[in-house]
Amino acid sequence: MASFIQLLVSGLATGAIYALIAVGFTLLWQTSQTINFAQGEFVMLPAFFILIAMNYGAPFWLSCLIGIAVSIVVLGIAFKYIIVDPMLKHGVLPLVISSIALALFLKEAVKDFYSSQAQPFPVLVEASDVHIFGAVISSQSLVVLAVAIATVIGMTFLLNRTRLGRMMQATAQNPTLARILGVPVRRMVLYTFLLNAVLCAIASILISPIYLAKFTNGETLGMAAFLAAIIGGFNQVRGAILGGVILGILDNLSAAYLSSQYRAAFPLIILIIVILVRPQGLLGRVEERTV
Amino acid sequence: MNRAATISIAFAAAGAVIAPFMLKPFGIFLISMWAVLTIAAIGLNLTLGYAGQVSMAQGAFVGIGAYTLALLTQAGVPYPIAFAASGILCFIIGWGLGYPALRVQHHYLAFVTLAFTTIVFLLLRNEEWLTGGIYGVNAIARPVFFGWSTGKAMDYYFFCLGVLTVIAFAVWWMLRSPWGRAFVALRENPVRALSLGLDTRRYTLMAFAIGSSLGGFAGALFASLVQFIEPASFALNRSFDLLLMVIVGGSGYFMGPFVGALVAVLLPEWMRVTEGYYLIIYAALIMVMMPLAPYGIVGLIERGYKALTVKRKPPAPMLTPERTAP
Amino acid sequence: MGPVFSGSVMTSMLLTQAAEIPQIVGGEAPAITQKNNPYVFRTSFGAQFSMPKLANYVRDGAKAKTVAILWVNNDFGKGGRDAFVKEMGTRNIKVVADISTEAGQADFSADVVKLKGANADLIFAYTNEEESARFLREAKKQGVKTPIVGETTLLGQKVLDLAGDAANGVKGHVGLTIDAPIDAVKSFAERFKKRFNYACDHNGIKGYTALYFVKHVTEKVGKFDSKAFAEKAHGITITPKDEPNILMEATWDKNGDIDRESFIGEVVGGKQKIVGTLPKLGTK
Repeated sequence: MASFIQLLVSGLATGAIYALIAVGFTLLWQTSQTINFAQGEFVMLPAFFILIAMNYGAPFWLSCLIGIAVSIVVLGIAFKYIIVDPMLKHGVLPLVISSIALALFLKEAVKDFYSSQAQPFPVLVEASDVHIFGAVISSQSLVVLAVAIATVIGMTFLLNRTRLGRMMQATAQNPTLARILGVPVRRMVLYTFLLNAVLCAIASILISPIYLAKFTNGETLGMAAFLAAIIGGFNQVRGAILGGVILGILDNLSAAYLSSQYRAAFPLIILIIVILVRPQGLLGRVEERTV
Repeated sequence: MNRAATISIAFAAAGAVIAPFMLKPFGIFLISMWAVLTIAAIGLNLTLGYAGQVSMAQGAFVGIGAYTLALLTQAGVPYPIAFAASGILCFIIGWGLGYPALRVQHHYLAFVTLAFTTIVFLLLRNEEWLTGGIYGVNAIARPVFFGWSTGKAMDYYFFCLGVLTVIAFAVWWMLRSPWGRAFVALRENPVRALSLGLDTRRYTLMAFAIGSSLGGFAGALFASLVQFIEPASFALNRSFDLLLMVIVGGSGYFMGPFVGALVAVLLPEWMRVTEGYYLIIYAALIMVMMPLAPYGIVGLIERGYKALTVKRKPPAPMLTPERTAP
Repeated sequence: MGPVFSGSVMTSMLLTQAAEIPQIVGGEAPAITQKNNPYVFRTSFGAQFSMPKLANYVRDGAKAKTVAILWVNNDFGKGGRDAFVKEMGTRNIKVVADISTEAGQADFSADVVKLKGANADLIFAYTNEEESARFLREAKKQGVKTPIVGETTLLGQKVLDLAGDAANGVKGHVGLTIDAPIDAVKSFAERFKKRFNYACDHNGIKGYTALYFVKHVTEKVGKFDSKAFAEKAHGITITPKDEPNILMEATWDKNGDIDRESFIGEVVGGKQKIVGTLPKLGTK
C-alpha cells in the first residue's frame, strides 16, 4: 500500500508536468491548427536558457525569469512569425514536417553548441522526505505538484474569468465568429503562442531537476504531450490536463505492476483504444471532419 | 511525357547502371542503400503524396520486412518466398492498422502509426526468442538466382536496382490505370473525389496498405544489404527520415522519392566537412524549403521548367535531372 | 582507433573489418569481440571479463545470497545483464529481481519501488551514466538501504557530478582508474593534468593504452602492416617492464579482449576511493 501511494504521488507529479505541456499543445492546435512536433524540445530548451544565464553569474531565481522571458521571445514570438505564419497557407501537413525539422534543429543545436551530456539542474527546494501513510514522498514531488496545480488554476482563471481569456477562448473555438464579434483574432493567436512558451518554460523548470537537462529530453516529453492531448481530447484544455495526469500515473503503475520492458507501450495501447472507441478524446468535443 | 523528361530519366537510368563501376565498395554500399530507401520512400509517397496521410510507420514496416526476411531465410525458407512474405505481411498489417485508424479523423493515422512504430520497436527488442532481442540478427544471406550469387557488393547492387525498377514500373503502371487514377484524384481534390462517388476511405486505405508493403520489400532488401539488423535501426527516427525524404524530393511527384532518397544518402557524405553540424544544416534547409517550396525539389524543378516554357503544355510531374554518382 | 561507445563501435566495425584495418575500441558490449572480427581490439574490459571478477566480489567481498538487477535495455546493458546473471547462476546466488529500464529513462520511481520490494542483499545497477545518476537520486529519495554495486560506469565522474551526495556509499568494479594504487598510473594522471589542465578519466587511459599497445606491437612486427599487426597482437602480453607506458600488465586474447588487474571502488564524500584489488582472471 505504501509503495502504491508512493507511485501514485510521483506519477501525479510527472503527470502534472505532462498536463502543462499538453495544454500548450492543444491551445496551439485550437487557435492555429498547429500540430507542434517540437513541443517536447520547447520544454527541453528553456532549461538551457536558464543554465546559460547562471553561467553568466545570475542567481537561480533571476535565471528562471530570464529563461521564461527568452522562451517567450524565441519559442513564442519567433516560432510564430518565422516558422508557423509562412506555413499556414500551405495547410496542416507541411507545418507538421516543418515542426519535425525544427525539433531536430533544436536538439542538434543544443548538442553541438552547449553539450551532448546531461547537465545537473538546480532543484527548487532541498530534497527532504515527507511521510504520509507510511509512504515516503519527497518534498520535490510535492513542490512540483503544487507549482503545476497553481499554474493550471492561474491559467484557468485567465481563460475563464478575464476578458482577455474569454477572447482567447472565442478565437480558439470559432475564429470567424470571433472576428465578427470584434475580437482581435490575430493578436489572440499570438497570445496563445506566448502562453504556450510560458507553460513550456515552467514545465522545464519543474522537470529538469529530475530529468537532468539534456538535449534528448524532448523526445519523451513531446510524445507524452501528444498522448495526453489525444487521450484527453485534442480540443479541450480540461482534456489535456486529465490526459496528462492519467498518463503520468499509468506509466508508473504499469512499470511497477505489469512489465517494465513494455512500460513505453502501455500509454500507446491506451491511445489506440481511445482513438478507436472515443476518437474525440475523453473530454473532447466532436469536431466536424476537415478534409 | 515530354521529351525533356524522357531524356533526363534515360540519363539518370544510365547513370545508375554505370555508377558502381566507378565507385569504391563504400560508394556501392551507398547507392545500394539509395535503391533500398527509394523503394520505401515510393511506398510512403503513395500514402503521403497521393492519399495525403502522414504515416510515421514506414520505418517500422521496413523493420518488419527486414526481420521477416532474416528470420525466414535462417529458418530455411527459400529466398524468393521469404522476400514475397516480407511484402505481403506488411500489406496485411498495414491494412489492419489503417482500417480502424482511417475510420476516424484524418490526421489520426499519424498518431496511430506513431504509436505503432514504438510498439514494433519494443516487440523487436523484448521478444528475444523470436527476434534476437537487442543484439538483432546476424549473418543474413544474400540470394542466389540460378547460379548468380549476389554476395558481392556490386552484384547485390544490381539486384536492388532490378527490384527498384520492377517496383517503380509497377507503381507507375498502377497510377496510370483507371483504378490508380483514383489515387491521383484523391491528391488533386479529395472533396470532389468524394462527391464523384469515389470511396475515398477505401482508396486511402489501399494506398496505405500498398505503401506499407513496399516498406516491407525495402526492409527485405535492407536486411541482406547490411547483413546485420537490430531493433534500433527501425525506431521512430527511421520513419522520420523517410518522411523527410519524401517531402524533400517532392511528395506526390512520381520521381520525388528517387531524388529525396538520393539527397538523404549523399548529403551526409558531402557534408562530412561540416563535422557534426550536418543534421543542423539539414534541418535548417528543410525549414527554409517548406514555406518556399513545399512541393520539394522535383516540384521546384517542374515549376521552374514551366516558367521557362510558358506557352507549352505543362509537363507531367516527371522531370528530374538526377545525379547518381557522388 | 575507434569510438568509445558500444553502439558506434558496432557500426564502424563492419567498415574497418572490410578494409582490414585493426581497430582499437573502448566499448564494453560483449558482442563486439564475439563476431569473429580479427581486426578489433579492446582497451577496456568486455562484460564477459569484468562480470566474473565482479561476481567473485559479490560472493566473497559482499557475501550476498540474493541480488536484484537493474539494467538498461540496450546492447550495453543487456550484454552486461546476461553475463552477470550467468555468473550469479554458477555461484548459486539468487537473482530476486530483474528490472529492465529504458535508455534515456528519466523517472525511476517505479523501478526503485520494485527494487525495494525485492528485498535483496545487494543491488546491481548496470545502466549508462546519466540513468545511473537519476537512479541513484531516486534510490536516495526513497531511502534505499541495500548496498548498490555496479560496473565502472556507476562510479564514473559524470555520475558522481550528476548524482551528488546520492552516490555516497555506492561501490563499483573499476576496470581502470587514475586513482589506482599503482605508481605508473598515478604519475600518468599527474602528467596528463599538467599538460591538458583537466583531470583525466578512464577514457583518457584507454586512449593512452591504445596508443602504446599499437606502438609496442608495431615495434615487434617491425613495420606498419595492418594484417601482420592483427596476427601479432592476439595473445600478446605486455608488461610495464617491456613498455613502461602501458602502465599495467595487460594481455590481449585471441578475441581481442583485454585482461588485467582491476579494482573495487567506493564513493566517499562524492569522490571515488579504491578499496580493493581484483586479480587478473588469467587465460581461460
